Amino acid sequence: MTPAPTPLLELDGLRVDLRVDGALRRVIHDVSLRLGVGEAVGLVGESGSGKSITARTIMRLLPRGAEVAGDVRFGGRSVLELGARDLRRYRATDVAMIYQDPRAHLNPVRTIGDFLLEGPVHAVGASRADATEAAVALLRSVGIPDAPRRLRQYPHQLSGGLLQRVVIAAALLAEPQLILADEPTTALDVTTQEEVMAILDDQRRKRGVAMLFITHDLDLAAAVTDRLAVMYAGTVAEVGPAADLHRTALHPYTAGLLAARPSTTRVERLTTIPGRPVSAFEVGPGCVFASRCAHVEDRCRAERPALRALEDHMVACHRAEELRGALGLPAAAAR
Amino acid sequence: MSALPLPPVAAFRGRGGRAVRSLAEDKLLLASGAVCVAIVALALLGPLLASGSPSRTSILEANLGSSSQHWLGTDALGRDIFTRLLYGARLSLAGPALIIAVSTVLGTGAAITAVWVGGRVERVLNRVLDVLFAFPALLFAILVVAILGTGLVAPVIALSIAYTPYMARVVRSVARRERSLPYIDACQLAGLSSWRICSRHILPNVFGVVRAQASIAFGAALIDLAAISFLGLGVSPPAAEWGLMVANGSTALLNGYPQECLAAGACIVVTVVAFNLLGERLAVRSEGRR
Repeated sequence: MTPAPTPLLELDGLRVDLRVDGALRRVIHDVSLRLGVGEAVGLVGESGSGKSITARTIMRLLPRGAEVAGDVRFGGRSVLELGARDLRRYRATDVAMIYQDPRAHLNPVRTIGDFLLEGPVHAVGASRADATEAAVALLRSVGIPDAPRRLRQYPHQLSGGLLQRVVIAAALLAEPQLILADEPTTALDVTTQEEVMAILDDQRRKRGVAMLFITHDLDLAAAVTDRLAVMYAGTVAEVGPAADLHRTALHPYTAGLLAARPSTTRVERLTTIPGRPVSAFEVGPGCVFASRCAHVEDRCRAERPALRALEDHMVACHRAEELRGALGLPAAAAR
Repeated sequence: MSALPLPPVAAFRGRGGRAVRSLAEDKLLLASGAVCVAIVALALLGPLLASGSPSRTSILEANLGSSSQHWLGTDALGRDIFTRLLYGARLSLAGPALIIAVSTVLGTGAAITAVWVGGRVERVLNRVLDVLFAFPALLFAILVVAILGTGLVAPVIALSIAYTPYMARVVRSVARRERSLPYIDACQLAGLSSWRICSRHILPNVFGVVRAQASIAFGAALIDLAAISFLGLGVSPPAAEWGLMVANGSTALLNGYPQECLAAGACIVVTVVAFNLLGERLAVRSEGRR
C-alpha cells in the first residue's frame, strides 16, 4: 500500500539522545517513517532497538534531558514545536496510546470510569453525561457488556485482558487519527492475546484509525498491518509490505529474524543470529548490523548505509542488490 | 469474556480491600486513634463538662489535693486544675493543629511541585530545605518571638515554617516514586493538565504518608509549643494552657504540691504518645500497601 500524498505521521531523520548519568547516549540514530491516513505499520525489532523510544518521541514524552534532532510531523505540523496547550490537545485528541502493561498504566486508587472519562471531560471538554454514554457504548463494542458496573470498579477487580480492552476503549474514546500500540498483547496470556488483538484490529479498521504497532512478533505484525518497518540498534533496517516481507527480505537482519522464528510444525534447533544485540550507542561509524552480519564487507564497517528504495521496499544495506535472492531463502522455502 | 469469574480473594488484594481487612486487626491503630479522638472531643466539649470557671481564684483553697469537689486538686491560686486542663486543651491543641495544617499544605505543595517540575526548581527547593533543616525549630521560634513578641501567633508562624521541610522531605521521596510510575505517563498522554495530574493522581497516592507524618509531627509540635509556653514565650497567664500550667505548677512542685505539674504533664504525654502511635501505625499501613 502506498502512503497517502500527505502522510498522517512523518518521522524525518529522527535522532534521539537520552541523558544517562549526565552524559548523552544515543538511542535512535536515524529513523524515517511515514504513515498514511488509516494505514497500519508494524514497527518490529528486538528489545532495545528503539521501538518504544520512537513511540515516546512521537508522543513527545521523553525523559528529562533528552535531545531530539530531526522532526516528527503530524498532519504536516511539527510535533516537536507544539506549545504546551497544543501538545496537550495533540495528545488528548490526535494520537492515543495502548500500553504493554495496562495495569501499570491505570491509577490503582481510581475507578475505571475515572480513567475513561477523565481525558474526554477534562482534556477535551465533553460533558460528563455524553462521555459516559460514549464510554459505555465503546466498552460494549470491545466486548465488555456490563459496562455501567465496570465503570464503578477498580483496576484490581479486572483481569489483564479486560483491562487491556478498557485501555483500547480509552484510546478509541478520543476518536484519534492514530493509535500507537506498544506491544499491546505481550503481557497477556496467550488465549487472551488473540481476542484482544482481534478487537483492536477490528475496531481500528472500522473507524479508519491509523496504527503504529510495536512488537517483536513478526508474524503478528504481518497479520494486522499493511507495512512492516524492521528496527535494529536505533535505525530502520528495512521497510516493506507486510504481506510479503516474509518472502522477500532484502536486509540481512530481516532475513535473520525471519529464520529465527520458532516453528510449531518442525522439531529442530532454532536458527539464531550470531553475536549479541548491540545497543544504539555501541555501534561504530558503519552499518549498525555490521558486527553480526554474515555478508559484511569493508564498506559496511566504514560507512553507514542510508535507507533507500529498492523494488517496493526501503532498505538500509549497501549490498542489498547483490544479496537479493540469496537471503534467508532456505528458511523461507522450508516454511 | 465479561463473565470471567474473578478469583475470590487474590483479586481483592488491592488497596481498598486490604485496608478494610487490616483496620479491624490493627488494635494499636484503633486504640491510639480512639484516644486521639477522645482528646480532641474533650477539648471541643470541655467547657460544657467543666463545672466552674478556669480562672476563679480562691486563696483559701490553694494547693488542695484531689477531692470530690476538685478532682485533680487546685493550683497555687486555688484554681481547679481539672477545669483548667479542660479549658487549656483547646489552646494546647489549636496551636499544633494550626502548625500542622500550614506545614502540611506548604510542605506537600512544595514537594509535589518540585518533583513534578524537576530540574532547577527541584534543586533550589532541596537547598532551601537543607538550610531550614539546619535551624533547630525551638531556636527559630524563640527568634521569631523576639521579633513579633510573645503570644500564640509568633511561635505558630515559626514552627509552621520549621516543620515544613520535614513534611516536604517525606512527601518528596514518595511523590518522586509515584511520578515515575507508568500511570502518570498515561495521564500525560491523555492530555491532562499538570495541575490535574498532581492534585488528582499524585496527591491521593501520597496522602497515606502525609497523614502519617502529620500525626507524628502533631505530637512534636505540641511538645515544642508546650516548651515555648513553659519558657514564658508563648501564651501568657492567666490563660489556661498545658505548657503554661507545667511552668506555673513548678513553684508549687518545689513546695511539695506536684498536682498541677503532674496533671498537665500527663495530658501532654498522653496526647503526644497517642498521636505518635497513630502516626506510626498509619505509616506502617501506607508502606504496607506499596
